[in-house]
Amino acid sequence: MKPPRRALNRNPEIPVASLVDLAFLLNVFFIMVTSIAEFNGVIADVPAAERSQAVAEQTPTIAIQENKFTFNDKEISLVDLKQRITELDLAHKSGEGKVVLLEAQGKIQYQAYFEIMADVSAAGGVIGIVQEEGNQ
Amino acid sequence: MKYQRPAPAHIEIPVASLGDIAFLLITFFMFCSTFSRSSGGHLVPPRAQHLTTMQEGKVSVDIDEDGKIYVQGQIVPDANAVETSVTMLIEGETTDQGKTVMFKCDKHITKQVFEPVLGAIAKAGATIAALGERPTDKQEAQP
Repeated sequence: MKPPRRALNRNPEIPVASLVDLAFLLNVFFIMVTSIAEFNGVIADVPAAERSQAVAEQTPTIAIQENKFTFNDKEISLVDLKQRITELDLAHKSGEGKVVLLEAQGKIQYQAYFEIMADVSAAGGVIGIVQEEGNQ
Repeated sequence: MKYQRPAPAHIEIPVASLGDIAFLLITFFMFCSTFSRSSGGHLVPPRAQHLTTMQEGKVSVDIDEDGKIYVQGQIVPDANAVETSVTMLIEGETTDQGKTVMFKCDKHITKQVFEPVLGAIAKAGATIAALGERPTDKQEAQP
């Protein structure tokens, strides 16, 4: 007796249905783990030594100490300091005129330092970081 | 008279193209994603009202709440190591974006720690993008 002939599969297809499930699972993974990062901050510039020597005299300088601010060596409140920064009209100046030197003194924390950096930057200025000799 | 019920039609939804779409989406996400280069250390970013939104730079330098310094997520011993690492990382970069270093520092860190690091980044010839957060409405309401 002849064995029954296997029916010829005239329409061969690779089953891809499960592949789609897999692909969408990967999609879900990427969607879940991806976060659209937004970077907020300020651009700071540390002046080169030659430049700082040349312009230090006429450049506005802000010194931050613990709970104390000075603007061009005169003690000032934080509110007045912000006012003075606005009055400098830094946005309409160019080149070196935009630079405001920022000097930290004592055990100042980064939060206070950063706030002043942000204010100067918002006024259109460029922050020049002044370092103490021993810190360089 | 007998009515013969027609044999049920064998309906198949073609899903082959759905796979193509799914893989296209995967490709899109893979190209658009960048893995975070931030440190594993915990830090509380400083807050300020007037911050600008900027593009991500190629190099990141972080200082966590314990004062540990990280370059590209790897811990480094001191500011001198920051200068060396940043110099190597921005070598050959010609654009401002390529020379920008994303600097993140815990808000409680004192000047003795963050200032030498800022100086080191500047000495390496990079532009410092100091990152922070805008206060939320809830935080602004607090005294």
